[in-house]
Amino acid sequence: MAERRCPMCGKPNPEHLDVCKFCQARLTPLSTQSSQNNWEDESSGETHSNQNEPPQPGGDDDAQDWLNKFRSGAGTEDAPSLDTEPEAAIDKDELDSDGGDNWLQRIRALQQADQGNDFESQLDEESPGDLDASSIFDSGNLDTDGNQAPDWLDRSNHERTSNDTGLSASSPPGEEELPDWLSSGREDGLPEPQTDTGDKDVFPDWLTSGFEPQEGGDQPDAGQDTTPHDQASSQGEDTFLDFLSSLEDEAAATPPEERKDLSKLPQAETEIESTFLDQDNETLDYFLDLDTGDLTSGDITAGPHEDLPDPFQEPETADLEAEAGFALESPDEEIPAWLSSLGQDDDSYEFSTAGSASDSPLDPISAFGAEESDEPPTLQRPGDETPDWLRELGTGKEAAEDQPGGVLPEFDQVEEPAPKGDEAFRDWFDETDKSSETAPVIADSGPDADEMPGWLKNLGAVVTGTIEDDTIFETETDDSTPFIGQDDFDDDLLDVESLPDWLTPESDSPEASETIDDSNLSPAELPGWLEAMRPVGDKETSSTPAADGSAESAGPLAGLHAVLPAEPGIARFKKPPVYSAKLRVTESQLAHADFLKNLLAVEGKPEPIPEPSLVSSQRALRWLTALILTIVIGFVVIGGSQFVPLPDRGAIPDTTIAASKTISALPNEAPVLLAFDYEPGTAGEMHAAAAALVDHLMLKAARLTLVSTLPTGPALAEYFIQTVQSQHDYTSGTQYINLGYIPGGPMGVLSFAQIPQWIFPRSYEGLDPWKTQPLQDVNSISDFELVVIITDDPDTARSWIEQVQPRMGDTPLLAVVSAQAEPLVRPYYGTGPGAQVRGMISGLSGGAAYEVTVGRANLGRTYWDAFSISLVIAVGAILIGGTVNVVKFVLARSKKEYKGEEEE
Amino acid sequence: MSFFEMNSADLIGAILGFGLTLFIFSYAWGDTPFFRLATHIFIGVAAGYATVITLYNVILPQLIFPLFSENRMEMILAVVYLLPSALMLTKISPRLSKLGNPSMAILVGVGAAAAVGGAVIGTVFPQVSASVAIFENQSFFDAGFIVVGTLATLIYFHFSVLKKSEQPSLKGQVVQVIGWLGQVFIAITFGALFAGVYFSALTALIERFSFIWTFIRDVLLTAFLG
Repeated sequence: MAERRCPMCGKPNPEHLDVCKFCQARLTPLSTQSSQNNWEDESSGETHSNQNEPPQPGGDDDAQDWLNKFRSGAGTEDAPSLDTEPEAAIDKDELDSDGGDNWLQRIRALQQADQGNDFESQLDEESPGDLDASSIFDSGNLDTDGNQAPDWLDRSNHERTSNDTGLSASSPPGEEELPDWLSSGREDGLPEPQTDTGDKDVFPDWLTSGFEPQEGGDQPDAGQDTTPHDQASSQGEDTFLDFLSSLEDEAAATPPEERKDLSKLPQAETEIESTFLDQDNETLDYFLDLDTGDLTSGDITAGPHEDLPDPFQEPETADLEAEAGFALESPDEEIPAWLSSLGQDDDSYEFSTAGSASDSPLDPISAFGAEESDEPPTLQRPGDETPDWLRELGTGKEAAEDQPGGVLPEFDQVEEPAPKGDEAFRDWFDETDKSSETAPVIADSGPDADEMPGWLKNLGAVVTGTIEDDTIFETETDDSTPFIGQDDFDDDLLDVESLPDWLTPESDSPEASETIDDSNLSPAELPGWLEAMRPVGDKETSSTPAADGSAESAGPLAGLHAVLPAEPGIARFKKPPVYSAKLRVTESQLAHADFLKNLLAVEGKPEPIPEPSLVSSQRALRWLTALILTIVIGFVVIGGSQFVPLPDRGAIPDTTIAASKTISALPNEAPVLLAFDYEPGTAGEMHAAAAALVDHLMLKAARLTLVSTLPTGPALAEYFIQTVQSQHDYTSGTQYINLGYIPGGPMGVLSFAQIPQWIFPRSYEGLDPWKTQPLQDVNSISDFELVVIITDDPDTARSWIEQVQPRMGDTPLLAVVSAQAEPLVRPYYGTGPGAQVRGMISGLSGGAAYEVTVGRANLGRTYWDAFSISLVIAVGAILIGGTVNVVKFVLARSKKEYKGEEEE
Repeated sequence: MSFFEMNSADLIGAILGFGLTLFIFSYAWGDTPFFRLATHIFIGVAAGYATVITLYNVILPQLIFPLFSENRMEMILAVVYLLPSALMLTKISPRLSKLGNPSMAILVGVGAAAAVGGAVIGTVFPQVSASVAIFENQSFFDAGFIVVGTLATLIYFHFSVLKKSEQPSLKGQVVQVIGWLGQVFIAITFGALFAGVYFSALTALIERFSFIWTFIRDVLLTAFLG
């Protein structure tokens, strides 16, 4: 059962169905016109390979012939290229010089033979100055040389102005030769361009005339003299982009479902199957794809750049920049206006997805790149203002890739054979063929050969033959395509295996060169971007020595010139300088070093310690001194002798006399403050020094208040009153009160001097001291009649003098100090009214002296004999010791002198 | 006081005093264990006694008892005293010692202020005024001797020197002579202090010998000989 594959989903359908049972897409064309059927069949995807139909006349064979001729022409041109577009590969000069190989001429000849109409003459007559579409294929000058363009395009434009339909089968011969897809583009007219770019020359005339917008669906008047192109030229406002925008608007006006379906179709297919409302858009897409295909071929054209027409050169640069991620910045004067207008809106295209470079409408590798990436790659530009028509183009391409007979592949498929020759070219296409299961080609299912224009027949045959061999449009071009996506750019270029044979390093090998020589192919002059990608060791690429640097010889950047070094310091390995390890030392430094060394050696030597004698002189002397004192004092104490007289009155110090006078001046039962600030260790001395004074106070029946700044002071004070002065029978709380301990040192003394009640709320015995007899009428420190400090510490005496004495007013201050503190307290003594210390008793001698003044024997007298004798013994010991030391010194000196004399 | 007139506390105290005195005298033979025992006992008893005195003579009557006083003012003051005093206890713990810093700051600050103020008022000004009027209160010789001794001692502690270029630093000749004189006065002062220490020690020794003899006479002889 014969099947008909759906052009949309590609699924087989019964032949009798007009609509796909899977996707409801139309399987048969709406029009039965022969011209449309041709394209309908093409778009339906019914290829020869699928239907096993015999090749159409002028199909594969013609294509092979054409390719062979083209290859031979390319080979003679010494420009091996990957260009899949024969138009781009064929040089204009070649066409001029070699008329026998001029395929276009052959096409025209065929056209003339088939149709019997001379389009050229008519077109030349009608629009001699217009640009024709064939100029693109001929890579001729688009601006000036209209003779090189197929005139049928210009003619068709002109004829369309006078023919409303232009698609009927009964059209005049000239119109029959006009491709229906071009005529259909004019069928409903195109919307009026909305903006004025002021550049009317940017579009080829055939494009401008073919898509001349007609507002309100008004068809151009056939009787008008001016062609649509003339109208566009006269307006001078149409730009291609604006025109596309208007197309976009129209597309938006169409039903969404229909647009959705159409978006999936290849442009050419949609052109045939869709309604006339959609034909404009599809025709535009076709032309865009046509342009893209041109660009694609222009990118991979291996011929010199100058040989290429500007529209093909500039997109190549732009595509390279797009692939490299740069913004498209091309001078407007170097590219066609219709391309520049595209670039104006898309100043900085960035590929959003990996490998999406192929989706750019300006991308030369769109045909392959779209197949490489799973995701539909899109072009992004700042502001996300990508026109819808660009998106539609992308979707259309995808659909075209999915569907057989896509328009885009139509131009890509016609690739320039590899420079190695036909075999290499076939190998390359065989690889793509292996990766594809189906190869729907437009030309395969092309129109009836009889009804097809001759030139198109030949062209379709060429295309068909190529596609049959290659089927590159549904293949995964990862391996086959010479173009790579953005992501795979670096890797794939360096991936030798994925490269075509002529790009592999083996191609540069001598064997490859020989092969090229055998095939009479001269080495190609690669484009600059391709040459830069050549692998290492390419001597030919190094034929252009980089003036700005040498080529890298290793690493991923191998073969590239003028590569910046990684880091200046790293790449330059330098042997470290060798420094001498020998020290440069001067003689003085050596001398110092030796000196230090000797010092350390001496320090390290252990000195012999003399063995101590069993009885050293010091210990013997100490034992001797202790024995003498013990014997003397023992005898004196045990004997109780008091034969040593007390000091005379004349020998009594003034300080003692002043103290005695001060106490003598006190009234009876005067409140007296006694501060016992001495340690228990010096209690013997302090008791002996203070006994006479306290005795004198008790004789005066003084009311004693005992305080101390030492914790042990209250106990010593209590002991002193109860033991030393036991003969007076002083009673606590009545004749004396022991307030106890004053904490805080100088601060406590100051506080006691300021507010004594706060410091001593209770007495040493727990009584309320301020209600006792001794403290009667005493509220402050100045209320005491006398303050006596009994201390062995000069600092304690100074604290009392500094903190209390200034707040005592006229109250006198006496000091009973130890003999060791007397030199430090003596400066405070004075006799005047402003004197800080008005009397002072120092030690045992002062107590004994005070006893003399009072006339009462006390501890001073008890200890005086022992003290006096011990003092004499101490003086004698000092004298004896000094004498011994002097004798030893003299003996040593004389001995030394004697030895010196002997030595002399 | 004879042995029989002494109460038990006095007797125990006398015995302990006698024995510890002999232990201290054992130092004449070196650092004997008796000497160490006596030293440790003395330090321990002194610390214990100081603690008891502080507790019973300071803390209880000045911090605790006012809390239970009928006088509200005393209670408030007791709380005011007790709070920083309690914070002082946090100095035991290194982690909480910061809490006692304010109390410690108050103590140090007030102590320094009291010491400085007392020194200025009680020492500096009176000593300066006394030196100015020294010739009024003292004889010319004594006053002159004191002035010379004071100046010479101060000049001795004058360490600034003259230095010429490329010459060793030297004091002036006059400064050196006066400094030497001041050194003599300083030596005499140290001699006097040493003599006072000797006098104090000798007095203590005599007192201890007297105590020993008294104990022997009044306690031992009386106890054993009746």
